[in-house]
Amino acid sequence: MSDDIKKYFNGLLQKVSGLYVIQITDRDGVPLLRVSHSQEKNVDFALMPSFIPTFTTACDQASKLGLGRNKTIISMYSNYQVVQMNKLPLILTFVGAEDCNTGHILALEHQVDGYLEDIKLAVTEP
Amino acid sequence: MEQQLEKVLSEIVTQQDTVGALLANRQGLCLGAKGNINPNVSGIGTAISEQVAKLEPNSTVPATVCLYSGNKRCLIQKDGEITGIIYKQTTTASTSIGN
Amino acid sequence: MDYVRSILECLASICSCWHCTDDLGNQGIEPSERTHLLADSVNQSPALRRSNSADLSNDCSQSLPKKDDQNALSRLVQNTAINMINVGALDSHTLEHQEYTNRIKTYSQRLQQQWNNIQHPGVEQTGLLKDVPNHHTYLSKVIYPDDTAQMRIFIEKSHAAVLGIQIDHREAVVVPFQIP
Repeated sequence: MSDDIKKYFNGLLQKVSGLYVIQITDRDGVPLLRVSHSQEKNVDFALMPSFIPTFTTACDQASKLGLGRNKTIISMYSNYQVVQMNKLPLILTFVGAEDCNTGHILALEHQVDGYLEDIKLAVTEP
Repeated sequence: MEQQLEKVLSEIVTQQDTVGALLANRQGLCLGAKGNINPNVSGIGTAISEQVAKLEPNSTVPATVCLYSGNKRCLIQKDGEITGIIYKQTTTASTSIGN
Repeated sequence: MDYVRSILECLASICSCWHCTDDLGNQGIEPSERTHLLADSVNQSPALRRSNSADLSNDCSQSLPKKDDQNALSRLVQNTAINMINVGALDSHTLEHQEYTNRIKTYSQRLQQQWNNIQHPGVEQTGLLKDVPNHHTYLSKVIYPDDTAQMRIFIEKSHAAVLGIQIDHREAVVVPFQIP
């Protein structure tokens, strides 16, 4: 079952040093899959009810700037960095340390695309 | 703005056997790329150089990584804030026999 | 009516202009922020009624006689609302707790079913150098002194070049929007 996919995402999490959480949610923030370093910092804020919907709306508005569809938003904070990818109907969120390798996170995108296609089926109407 | 960087990259890719060059910052984001090189490798290149740097944590000289694949090779070096990646292609007779 | 028609034509020209440069309309198969996720019956939360625009057009179409003109007009209003950058829409679209838990349940059930049916790609490591036929040649590769020298010079020059990067601004930093 989904143990395999969980293992795969855990593997990705290990590959990037300083990455705390990878989570896949629908656009309203309902979690489908979440892998995290259990002993790492508390990064539950990424599942706060308003966190993902705010990204969805920001993404929607940012797509209207005449630059095409918004794909990724990178937010740098004093203690964290958050990389969110628009994979509608899914949202892919990475939370890492502020000095984590952003380029490496972005490079994971094409690796997970195949898996996301399968997970998308669970969210869309049959 | 970044003309000087563009100039450095252009100079490097015109050197012998060199097919592409890229410069990444501390976060693995591409600062500039010239030649036949995908800007998306900046993150992985930086990650590799960071791992290699852990082998000799006390070394003052930055390590250079050399990856061989077919008739191409990839050089990576991280020095301080920046990481450079160079793609080179061997055009000597010995390797072209294999192709 | 003529007045309405002239407005209509004007709006139509604006919208068609937008549409040629932009693919924001959600008529395509591309999923967008407004396409429905699961079947409609699942979306019970009142907070989840997606942005004003869709509701607006529904209200219009219900309250007015269904003429072609009216339909076109309401479509234009809808498209305009969709294309407008609306920071006010950034209010919370939070789900009700009940629906949140329901959806978690639904998704996990569906994933369970799916992973039994789908042949997912292998996740096991293929191993070092397994894809290379004669790895001995690679293990005996030499490091060219030229390579290291080239890299040293590249990094040296790059350090200087990166320090030289600076913003080179030519226009006013604050630009007023042309809002009448």
